[in-house]
Amino acid sequence: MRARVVYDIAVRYAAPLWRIGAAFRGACVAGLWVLLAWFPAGALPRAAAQMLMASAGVTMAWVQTKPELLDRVATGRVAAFRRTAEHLLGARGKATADLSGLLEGLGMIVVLLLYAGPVPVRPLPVPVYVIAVILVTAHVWSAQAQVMTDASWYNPDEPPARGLVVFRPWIPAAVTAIELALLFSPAPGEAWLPAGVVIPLLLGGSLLLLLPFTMAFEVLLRAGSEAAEISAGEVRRSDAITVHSLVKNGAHALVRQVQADQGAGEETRSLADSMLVLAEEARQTVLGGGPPAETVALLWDCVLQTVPGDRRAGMVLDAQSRRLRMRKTDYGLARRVLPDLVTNAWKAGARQVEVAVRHEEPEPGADGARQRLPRPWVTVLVDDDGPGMPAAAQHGPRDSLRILDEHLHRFDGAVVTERRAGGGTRVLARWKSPPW
Amino acid sequence: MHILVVDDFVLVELALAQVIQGTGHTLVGVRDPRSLPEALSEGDRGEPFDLALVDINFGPGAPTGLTAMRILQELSPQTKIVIESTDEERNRLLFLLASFAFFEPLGLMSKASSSEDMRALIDAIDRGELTGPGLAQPDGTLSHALSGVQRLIRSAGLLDELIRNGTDLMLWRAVVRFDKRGEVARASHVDERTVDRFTAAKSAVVDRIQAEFPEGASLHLVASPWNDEPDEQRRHSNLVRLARFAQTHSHFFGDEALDELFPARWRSARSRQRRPWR
Repeated sequence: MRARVVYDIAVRYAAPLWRIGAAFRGACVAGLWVLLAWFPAGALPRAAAQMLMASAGVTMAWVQTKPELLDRVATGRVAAFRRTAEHLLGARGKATADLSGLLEGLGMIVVLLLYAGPVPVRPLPVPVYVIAVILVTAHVWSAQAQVMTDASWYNPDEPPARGLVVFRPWIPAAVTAIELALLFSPAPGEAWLPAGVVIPLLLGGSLLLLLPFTMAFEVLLRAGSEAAEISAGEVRRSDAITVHSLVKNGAHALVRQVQADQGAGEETRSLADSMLVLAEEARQTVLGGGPPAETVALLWDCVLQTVPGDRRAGMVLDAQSRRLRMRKTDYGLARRVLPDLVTNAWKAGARQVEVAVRHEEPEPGADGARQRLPRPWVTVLVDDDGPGMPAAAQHGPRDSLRILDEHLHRFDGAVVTERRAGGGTRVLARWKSPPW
Repeated sequence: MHILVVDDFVLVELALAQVIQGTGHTLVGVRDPRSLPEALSEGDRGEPFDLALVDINFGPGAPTGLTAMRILQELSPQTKIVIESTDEERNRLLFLLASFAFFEPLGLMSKASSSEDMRALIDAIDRGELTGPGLAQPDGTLSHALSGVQRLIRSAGLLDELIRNGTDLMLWRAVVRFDKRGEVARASHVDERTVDRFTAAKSAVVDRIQAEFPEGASLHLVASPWNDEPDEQRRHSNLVRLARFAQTHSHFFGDEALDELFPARWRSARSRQRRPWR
């Protein structure tokens, strides 16, 4: 869930950042063109030629942020433009190096070779050199920041290749190494760098900060997803209250009506009571953002909803049962059985009701390895201190225990009632856990 | 008949057991489609299942009724299928369309039906009478009104138009989460023109679904854009509209069963198209 939210945030920030980044890099390249005004006249053709690749790359990146324009180019008359536009359209949103990226990356190296490296253009005023290195570094910063925070790194459906993930933290170091290597490579006949060591070292070295920048970005991303999760939790809590209130009020009205209706059968009464259990389960499902684990503890919390508030203190589920996690059918049967048994107990006047649920694994047979294992038993035991079961609960063909007994017969089970030696009643419901 | 109930709610099995009480039919329940292979192999040891009543929704994270029907079709092709659903043609409309398109179930049984209606439907299937309320075949009356099931069968083609290929499926899944052209394109790895074509084509299909199943309350939320809107605004309105439709049916579009069912259907359609040329 969190990975999905992170990716969704990344896709949403990618489009506007992409536009801003393309415009910013376009401004950097425009600035580099302006600097040519201070170049020696004889070096201008070479300088213009070396500017072309980066200019083409940044223009393509900008066009890519203008889908309408790209569409027009893709349907235009010039075949080369058309093919380029098709390529750029196809590369959208993919973790791949497209033509614009390649041209920008290689183009910036070629541009830097105008100012540094083995054959720089000289003479150049020092401020021009410094501004050029600043603009190149700013361009690289923008392009690499986009690479480092691209949404495709976070795509849970198509995760990036393992090799790329391993290489990602090394990208800033690699880019820094390339820029510093070019800035500090000795030019023939030049004794010292035009602006000294510090400025190019600081600018080139600043690219190493892309790594902490990315880490800070990821912290923000995680914080965003956590904030989204907390907000979703608040909405879920509010929805849980609404759902619970709506369903529970309706269920209480139904239970009251059914209890008042002398003609209502025990199955009807039981199903009406189960609405309260289901309302609580619905509340917990909404609250948890998914179905809760089907444990006896959950079921017990839900069953208590059918018991009047002043009687709940006497209702006890033993600690061992709370931890028991049930299979779906067993949970459904326990959900059907337990509210009836507990309701019968408190309606019979019991003040103390003790409940235990057990899952009994049968012993495998002698040749158990080859035979199918016998199915485990599920037992629900309800002991109370009441005077005995009400007559309505155990006489007649449609009384509650008989109906439960019928249901459990489908699962080779039964309901048995007995008087306890020290007073009170013990009801045992037992069935064989279905194999699926 | 030996009946299999595939429903995550055990109360449904208990209620159906009461419905068939005294009829001679027997009934076994399975809570999750993933348990079906085991249940069917268990059935093979004794009596194979004649009829399966299959629910659509098994809760978050669980496979849906489409997976259940696929397993039944593969492992027990002789078992007749009836879909059981709580709400016949609302937010499960696409599931129902897909069920009738892929598996040809005999009919649809509403969980809200009375015990008598449920028993009547089961008995009719037992007698081999496959016409009547809830069943797929027309009942031969002079009424021109189609039943809900017959409309679902007749409209199965709409589903093919809704999802024509893998890109469509990817786009629908993106539209569940995004409603801006660039974001949808980025999330589904296509260009914006593909999103535009998708939006235009699918809006028309959604309109037809809305016209065919006006009782689907969830669709009423999705109003058509005004005709006099500028192109770009209209395109955005249509995309927002599709996004709302996709969100309503997000459980359907997110169903992993579609990744197997649709490609198999496209392959089969292609091979049918090629056959006359051989």
